[in-house]
Amino acid sequence: MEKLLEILRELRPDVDFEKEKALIDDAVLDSFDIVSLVGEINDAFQVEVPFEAMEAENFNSVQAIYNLIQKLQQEG
Amino acid sequence: MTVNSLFFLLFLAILFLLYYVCPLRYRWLLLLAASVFFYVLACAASPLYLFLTSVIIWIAGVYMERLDGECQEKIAQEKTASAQWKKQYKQKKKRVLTAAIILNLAILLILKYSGFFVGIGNSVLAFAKVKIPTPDFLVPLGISYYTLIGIGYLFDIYKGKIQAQKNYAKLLLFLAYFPQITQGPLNRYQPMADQLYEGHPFAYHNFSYGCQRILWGLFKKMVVADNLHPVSQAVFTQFESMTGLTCFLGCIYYTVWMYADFSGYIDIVAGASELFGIHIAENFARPFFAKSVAEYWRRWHITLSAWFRDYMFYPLAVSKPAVNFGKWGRKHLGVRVGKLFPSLFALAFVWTCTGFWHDASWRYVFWGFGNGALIMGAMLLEPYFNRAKKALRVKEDSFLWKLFCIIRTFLLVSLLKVFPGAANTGDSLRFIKQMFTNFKLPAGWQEVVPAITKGDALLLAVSLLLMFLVDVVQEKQPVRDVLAKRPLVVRWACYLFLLVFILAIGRFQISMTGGFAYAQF
Repeated sequence: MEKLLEILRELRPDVDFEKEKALIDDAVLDSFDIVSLVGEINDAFQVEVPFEAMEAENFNSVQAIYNLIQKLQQEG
Repeated sequence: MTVNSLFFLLFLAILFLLYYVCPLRYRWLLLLAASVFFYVLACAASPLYLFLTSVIIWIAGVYMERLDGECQEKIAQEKTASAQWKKQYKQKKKRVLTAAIILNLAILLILKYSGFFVGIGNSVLAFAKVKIPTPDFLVPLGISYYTLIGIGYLFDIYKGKIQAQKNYAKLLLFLAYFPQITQGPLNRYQPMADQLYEGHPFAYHNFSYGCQRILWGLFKKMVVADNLHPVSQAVFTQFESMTGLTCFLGCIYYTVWMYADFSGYIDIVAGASELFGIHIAENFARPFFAKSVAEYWRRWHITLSAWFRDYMFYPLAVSKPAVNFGKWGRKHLGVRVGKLFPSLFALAFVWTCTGFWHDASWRYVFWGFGNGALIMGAMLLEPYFNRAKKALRVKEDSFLWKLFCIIRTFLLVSLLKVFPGAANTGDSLRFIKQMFTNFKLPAGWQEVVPAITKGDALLLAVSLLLMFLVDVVQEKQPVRDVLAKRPLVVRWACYLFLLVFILAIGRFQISMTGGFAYAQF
C-alpha cells in the first residue's frame, strides 16, 4: 500500500489520497492521470492492467486500486 | 420528423396520452412502436440498416453471455483449471466482440465513408487515368449514433458490466429509442434499460420538469440558434469580402450557434423523455465555462467524449504497443514525457476518429487534429506553462486567472471552427488567410453582424444574454429547482416570456427531416 501511495503522491502531489474516496467520480484524477498511473502500476507491481479493469470503481480510492493490484497479482 | 416541428409536438402529445392509459407492463412496447414509427417517418428508405445492426448486436450479445455461462459450467466441473477456462473463454468472447464490431463498423464505413475513400483512391490513381465510380448511398439517419451505442453495449457485456438483453424487441428499443436516435445522446445500457422497460406511473414532477425543458430547448433552438445561423452562414459563405475581424467573429457565431442548436435539441429530447419518467444521459455541462480544451471536451457532447474515452482511449492507452511506446519514450526522452506517451498514442487515434465520426472529409480530420494538438500540447508543455505562471506570479485561484482561462479556451475552440464552418477544406484555408491578413476594420454594423436587421440583432443579443445567465445559474444549481421554489406567478411569467419570445422570433419547422446541425453527423 505504501508503494502505491508513493506513486500516487508523485503523480498528483496536490491530492490527499488517504482521504479521497471518489477520485474518478469527483474528477480528481482525469483519464491522462489514470493512464500514467496504470503505466506506473504495471512497472512497480509486475502486473498488466487490462482495459476491462479501466472502470471508475477500480480507481476511486487507494484501497480500490490496491485491491485491483492484488487481484491481478493473484490471477498471475 | 424534426423535434422542433409542430408535428413532433403533436406526436408527443398523442404518445403521452397513450402511454399513461396503456397498462404498465406494455408501456415499453408502446415506446418501441412510437420509436419505429418516428424513425420510419424520418428516414423511410433506410430502417433496414437499423434492423441489420440491431440484429448483429443482439446475436453477439446473447452469444457472449452464453459463452460466460459455458465458462461457469466448465469451472464448476473442473475448479483447478479455473484460470485456464477463464482465459480460453475470454479469447472466445473477444473474437465475438471483434467480429460484431467489424461488421457494424463495415456497415457504417461503407454507407458513410465509401465516397471519401473512393475520392482518395481516384486522386491516387489519377496518373493511370483510372476512375472508380463514387458510390452514392443514402446514409441512414442516426447511423453514427446507434452504431456507437450498440458497440458500447457489446463492450459492456464483454467486460461483464451488464447482462445481454435476450429479448430482441427490448434491445431494439434501447438502440432506437426516439429521443436519442437522430442526434444522441449516446446512452449506456446500464442506466437506460430499467427505465425503458419498466412502465412508469404518471408523476406531475416529471410532466412539469419535462415541459419546462422542452420549452427551454425550443427557445435555444428556434430563437437563438435559428436566428444566429444566417449570421454565421453569411460570414462563412461571403468571407472573401469580409474583414479579418468579421471572419474571427464568424467563428464565434458558429460556435455559439452550434451550442444553442445541439444543446437545444438535447433539452427538447431530454424533456420529451422526462414526460415518460425516463431520464436520458446529460450531454452538456456549460462547455463555455471550461478552463482548458480537455475540460471543454468533458463538458461538450459528454456522451461522445465518454464513449471515445471508455471504448477507444483506454483500450488503446493500456495496449501493448502503447505501453512499449511509453517505455521507448522514457528511455529516449525522459520519464516525464515518456509517461505521457501511451496517452498521446491513444489520443492521436481518438482525435482522428472523432474528426472522421463527424464527417468523412479532410476539414473534419484537420479539426480533429487541431483539437488533439491543443490537448497534447498542453500536456507536453505543462511544466513550461507552470514555470511561466510562477515567474508571472499568477494566482491560479483568482477570478481573473480563471476568467482568462475560460476566454482563452473559448477562443481556441472557436478558432477551430474554421474547419467545420467552411464549405470545404480549400475554403477553410482561404478563410484562415483572410482572418489573419485582412486587418481592415468593419465599415458598419452590418459587417459585424451580417444578414440580420438591427431589430433582430437586438433581440438576438437579449436571447443570448438570457441563455448565458441561465447557464451561470445552472453552473451552481439546477435552474428548474431554483424556479420550483419561486411563487406560481413568477414561474408562469418565465414560461410565458419564453413562449412569447419563441412565437415572436422563433423559426418553426414544418418539414419532417433535417433542421439540426448534429443530425448530419
